[in-house]
Amino acid sequence: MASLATRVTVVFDPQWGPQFAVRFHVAPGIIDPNNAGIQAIVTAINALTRAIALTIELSQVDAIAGSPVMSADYISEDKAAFKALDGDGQAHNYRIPGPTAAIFLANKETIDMTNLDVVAFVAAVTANALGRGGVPITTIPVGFRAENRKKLKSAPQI
Amino acid sequence: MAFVLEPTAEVLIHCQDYNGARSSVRFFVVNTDADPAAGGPAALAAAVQGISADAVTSVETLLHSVDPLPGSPTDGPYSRGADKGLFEFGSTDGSIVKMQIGAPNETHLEPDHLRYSVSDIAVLALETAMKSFGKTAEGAAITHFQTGYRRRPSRRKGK
Repeated sequence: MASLATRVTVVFDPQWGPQFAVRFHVAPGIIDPNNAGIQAIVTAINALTRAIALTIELSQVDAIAGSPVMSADYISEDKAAFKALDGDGQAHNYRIPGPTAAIFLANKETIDMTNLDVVAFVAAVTANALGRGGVPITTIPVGFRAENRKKLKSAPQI
Repeated sequence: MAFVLEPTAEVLIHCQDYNGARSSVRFFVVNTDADPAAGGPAALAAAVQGISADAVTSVETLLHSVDPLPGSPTDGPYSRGADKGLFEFGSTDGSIVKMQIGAPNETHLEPDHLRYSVSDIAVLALETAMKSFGKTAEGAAITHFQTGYRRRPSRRKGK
C-alpha cells in the first residue's frame, strides 16, 4: 500500500541554541523540496521562529504484505554480505538479513554467485543502485555469510 | 531560498524475520526514481526478497536536499534558547496534528508570553498554509488551528 502522505522533515538553525527539526506531512507523491506547498509551510514556520531552514528531507513508504520463512534461531540473525564496486572502483557493502540456505555453496559460508536468485539480485543492483555520490554500481564479485551471533558466555568453574 | 536535491535518493528496505527482529538494507538510486512502489526501489525490494528468508515489510525512499544559501537567522529577545512553540491542528478524520518548533519568536506570543492566538498574523499564516497544504500521516486534510503555547522542556537529568 503506497504512502497516504509525504513526510517532510525540515532542520532549522536558530540564532541561539541547538539545531532542531520540524516534521509535517503533505500530499503523497511530492518529490520536489521547492514545492509551493512545502515552501509556504516553511515560510510560515520561519516567521514564528528566530531560525533559518537548512535542509529538507522528503519520505514516502510503500508497505508490502508477506510473511517470513522459518529458519534456525541461531542463524536467522546472519547476514549475506556482498562487496560491490562502482564505476570509480570504490567499494560498497550490502548486507542482506536472513539469507536463505539455498544461496550458499557446500561450505555454507560462501555465496554461490551463479544461484539464480543471487544472479537476479546482482542484476537488480547493477541496474538500479548507485553510490551516494551518484556513481553507478557496476559489479558485485563476491558474497559471503557474515555471522551476527552472540558469543556464548562460559560458565564459572566450580 | 531554493533547495538543491542530492544526486541520489536513499532507499531503505525494511525487513522482519520470523522472530520479529527488524533490520533494514540501504541502497541509493537516482533522485528521479523515488517512488517506493515502482522502478528501482521496487526492483531492489523484490531482489532482496528473493535471497532472504525475512519478510520485506516496506520500502521507504528518502530525498535529501540542502539550501546552499540559507542566510542568517534573525536576532531578538530570547527568554530561553531551549524553549519550544507547540501548535495543535484539527483534521477531517478527528486526529490532532502536533507541530513543535524551536526558538520561538517572542513577539508572536500573547501578552502572557505563554499562548499563541490565531489573531496573530504569523500564526494565521501558518494556519492558512497548513489548511491549504498540510495533511495528517494518514492523508486527511487539516481543518483548523486548535491551540498553541510555549513549552519549556524539563532540564532535569536522570529522570
